[in-house]
Amino acid sequence: MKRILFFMLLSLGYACENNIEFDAEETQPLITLKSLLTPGSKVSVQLTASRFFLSDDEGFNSIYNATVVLWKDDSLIDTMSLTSFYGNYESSYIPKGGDKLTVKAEAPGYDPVSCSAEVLHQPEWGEITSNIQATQREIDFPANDRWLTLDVFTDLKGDLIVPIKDTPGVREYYALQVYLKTTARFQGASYTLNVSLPIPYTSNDLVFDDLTTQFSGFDDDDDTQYGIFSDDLFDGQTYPLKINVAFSGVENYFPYDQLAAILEADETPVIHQSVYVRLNKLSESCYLFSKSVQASRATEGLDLFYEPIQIYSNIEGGVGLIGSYATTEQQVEVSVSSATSSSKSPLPAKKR
Amino acid sequence: MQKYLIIATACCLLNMDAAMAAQNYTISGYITDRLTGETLIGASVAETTAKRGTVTNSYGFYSLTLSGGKVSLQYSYVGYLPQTISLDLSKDTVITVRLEESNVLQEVTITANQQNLGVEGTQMSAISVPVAQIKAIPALLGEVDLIKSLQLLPGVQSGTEGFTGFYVRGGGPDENLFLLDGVPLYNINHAAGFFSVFNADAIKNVTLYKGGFPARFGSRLSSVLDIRMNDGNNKQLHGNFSIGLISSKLNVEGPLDKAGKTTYNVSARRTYFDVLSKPLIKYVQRGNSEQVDAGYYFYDINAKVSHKFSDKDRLYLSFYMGDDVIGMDYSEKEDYWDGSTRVKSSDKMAMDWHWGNLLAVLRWNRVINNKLFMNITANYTRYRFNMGIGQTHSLHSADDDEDSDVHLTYKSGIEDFSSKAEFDYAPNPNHDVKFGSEMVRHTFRPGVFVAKATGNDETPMDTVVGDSNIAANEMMLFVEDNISLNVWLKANIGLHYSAFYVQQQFYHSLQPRISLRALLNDDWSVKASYAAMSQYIHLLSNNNISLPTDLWVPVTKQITPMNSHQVSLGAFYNLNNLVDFSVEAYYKRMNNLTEYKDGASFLSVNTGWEEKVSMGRGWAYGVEFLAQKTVGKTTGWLGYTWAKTERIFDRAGEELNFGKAFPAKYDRRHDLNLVVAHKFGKRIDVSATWVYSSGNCATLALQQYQGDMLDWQTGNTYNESLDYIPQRNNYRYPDYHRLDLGFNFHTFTKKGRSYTWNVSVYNAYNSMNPFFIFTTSEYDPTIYREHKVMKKITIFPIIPSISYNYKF
Repeated sequence: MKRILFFMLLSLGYACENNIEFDAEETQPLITLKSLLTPGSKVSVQLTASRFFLSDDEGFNSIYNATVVLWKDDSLIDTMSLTSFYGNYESSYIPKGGDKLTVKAEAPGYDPVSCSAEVLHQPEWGEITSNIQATQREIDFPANDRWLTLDVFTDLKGDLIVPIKDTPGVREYYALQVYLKTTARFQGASYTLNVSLPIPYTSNDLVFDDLTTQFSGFDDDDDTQYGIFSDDLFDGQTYPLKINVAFSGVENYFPYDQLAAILEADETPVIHQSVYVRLNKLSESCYLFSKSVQASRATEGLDLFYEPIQIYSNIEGGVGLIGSYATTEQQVEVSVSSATSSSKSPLPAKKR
Repeated sequence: MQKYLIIATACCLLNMDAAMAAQNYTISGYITDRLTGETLIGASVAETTAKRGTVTNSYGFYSLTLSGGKVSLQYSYVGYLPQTISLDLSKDTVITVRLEESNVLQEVTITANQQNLGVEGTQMSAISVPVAQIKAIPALLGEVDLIKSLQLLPGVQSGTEGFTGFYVRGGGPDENLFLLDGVPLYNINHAAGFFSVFNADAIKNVTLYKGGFPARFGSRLSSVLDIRMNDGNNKQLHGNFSIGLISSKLNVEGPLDKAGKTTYNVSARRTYFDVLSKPLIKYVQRGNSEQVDAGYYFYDINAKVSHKFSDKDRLYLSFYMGDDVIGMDYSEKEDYWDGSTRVKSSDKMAMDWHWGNLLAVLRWNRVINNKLFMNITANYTRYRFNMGIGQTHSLHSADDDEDSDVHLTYKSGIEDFSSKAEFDYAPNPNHDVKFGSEMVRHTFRPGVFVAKATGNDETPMDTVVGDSNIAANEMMLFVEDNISLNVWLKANIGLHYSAFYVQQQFYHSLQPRISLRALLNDDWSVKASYAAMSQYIHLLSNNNISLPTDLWVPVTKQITPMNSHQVSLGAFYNLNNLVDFSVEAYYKRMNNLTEYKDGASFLSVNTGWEEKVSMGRGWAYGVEFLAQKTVGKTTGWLGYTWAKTERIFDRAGEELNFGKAFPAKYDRRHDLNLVVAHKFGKRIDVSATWVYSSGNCATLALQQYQGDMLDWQTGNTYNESLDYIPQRNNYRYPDYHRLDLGFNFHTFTKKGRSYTWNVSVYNAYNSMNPFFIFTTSEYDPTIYREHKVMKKITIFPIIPSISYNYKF
């Protein structure tokens, strides 16, 4: 009886799965055009070819035989030059905020592409209020036979209130970043080491409205590092955006010959740390692109229960993005207390 | 427009022809089956001379007012021998007619139903499929399924193969009202939608409305499926028992008293996956310290008791209960030495999921007078999903003592208490008025987690997380009049008013309905209809299959009621009272539709459901052709649908597909269904179904591109491949086609009993239809490396099945 039951169930199970190869018509590659315009920097674009999703290629082919032209308003202002075999093209034109630029590209074997974007003005904001307390706990010089580092263990805790001055009547988008900048100054070597470390922050502010607007960063951690938001809730106002920083971290400074020499001279560096806030104004295209990329990453491997994500693209005839951003930065006064103890590991033999 | 319709309706009601009424007499009564006493729904009564007629209502009652004098009445019903009664009408008369079921092997002319849904009726976009025909259709694993049979009708699409998805004229899966004896069932699926909850043995009549909705129906945008249960045989005990590959069924009916005034009908069904798998699981695990006992089954019970107090009063009590149950018990016991220490440990985990419907209806029918019929009901319906997981752990040794107990339960569902009063009033031959009201008290249970934990190593926990219950009140009023304007022109004009109050939000809507029928001759008619509908509840589900976690939620301040406007135009032809042909075109606009946002899932718990969905609008249009033969040796239908449905979600901040229009998930251009059943004799009948349709929509990235462009954030670039999806639902699966065959072999005994062997073959020519398509990498020995391939999974190849049925 058991055998009969076994074979009955086996036959049912077999009937329920059957994998078969599927023939799909191959779609042709499209030009992928990428460019981020920012005031004061040359216009540059990168052209690569997309690939059919069943292609076994691992990389993407650069397009280096394209004709890429730059238009401002209705006038052709430049033909962009190929600057690398990675498909990078550059114009000598340096845009200003408010410029309306159009990039058009043609390459043999591909449909022509074009896209327009307006170069953003710098964001405006007021003075940031901070009650962040920074505590340097330990400075360490761990070393092994491969490298030498300088670690500064720092605790940061407190709130920042960032007053954003928003333009009325225009839907605007922002990204906020917080950095801890550390300077290690070695008197004897006249050498200064500068390191910026992105600091994760959290916020209960409603501007970070849903599952896709708080960026998770690129290091696979779950902390908020790059909050992206729109001005829907504060259009035209000076909005006091409040964020909370609670960070306990170590910074690794990687080997420098000078640093090794200083350490051999047994000189203790003078450490100076400060917090910087960077406010980026983003074009709508950047905002939508970032939201969609983040949502896509968040749902990878969960296709069965999630709606597929469409990555935003604004390239006519192709795929990719022309966006604009404009950045401004402000140093925040931080109250630093020191509970520092220094330690130095035995130095390894220097690797040449 | 609405104002004029109200005035027109009122005039129709008030402007009864008094002079005519003075000379008229009313014939009323019930039409029943001669052998069983079951009332017949939608049976025709026609006065052949004056060409006046009516049909029985949902309770088998009719009322026909005619001028005095000699009249000849023909009573007919699909599959029954017509009966003619002639009399000299000089007073109000009660005639209850008992029609005899036809023996299709005798070549007699049997009138198809023309009065209600066919050439003569005002109703369009509706179809009634005889239950006998549903039972004759070959079924997957031999399990007769009402919903899967209706998927074969034009205008109805099935979604994923093998499931009971129900998409009508471009509408969504939550836009269908499934009424069992007039009361909504919220979840019509067993086994994630492989089977529906409707047991064909318990069903008397099925009518599907896809458009031209009469005013008595509301609450959903796209369809109404009106299912009526058998009352029970009032002559003698009858029943049948069947055993199939996955379930067994029992149906018993009969009178509870000698006079046949009280009848009952009970049907029960249970699957036995769990029973079959249990010995196999035990066999595989023999000797293991770990023991798992798991199983799944579903059951449903339909019961109905009716009592006839008098010719005027009848009482019915209907009951339905069905559940799906998944259970699993895991245990592991160990007794071992850790060095010199003896350790005894025990781990147990138990999982219990069950979900299903409970429905109860108490109905009182009263013939107030021969022109006025009353139906009063008190109803209860609920759907609930309960999930429980428990884990206990103990470990004891000389060094250690651990005990812990953790339980997690999740509960969600919806519960309605409602009452309804409906009246049928037939003041004269030109008017058939229905009016009534309904009050519903909804309680939505949006999902609550209860977590409890105890143990000597843990902090005790007793926590409840989730939204509290939401109460809502819904009210409906309706009036409709089926008006004979002259011999060739007939109209059904109605108004449906509904109001919904939830969480201090009040929504209401007035929904005009109109259907017109112009009779070109005895065999031809053209019809047109318009219907506005509103819907106040949504089903949150973002998958093609039905999951027990699918959640009904009410409208809110942000998520406003859905509404639709549908117009239909059709031509109807009857060929020799044997075959009905129809061609219908429709256009439907839908507003305030909801769809999950990109990347949203019902599984995510970090946001409320309102934040997961976008609101938008949609439209659907198409043409449907149907040729249906319901009588004779050969029955069946040929249905074809050409349809298109699209959505646009372009509200600022809620855009889907970047605010551009896209095909709806269930958009399918062509659907062709052929259903044929033939009786070769008394002992053998065969049936076949052939289905052909365009492939389902899916969203697929057909290109990938380099996406290292976020340097404004980090100053770094990273080389990442991004998917390029040009449009939601941009890809179509290959066309779908399938042939099913069924064979029935009957044996009859002298005592009136019968035995039937049913052999079915699902997907007889083994068409490898895609159930799911995905990409993967696999090793190719010809090129010595892996390469990407696209694959489809076919889960329903050729599947033979057998079942046995005993009828007594």
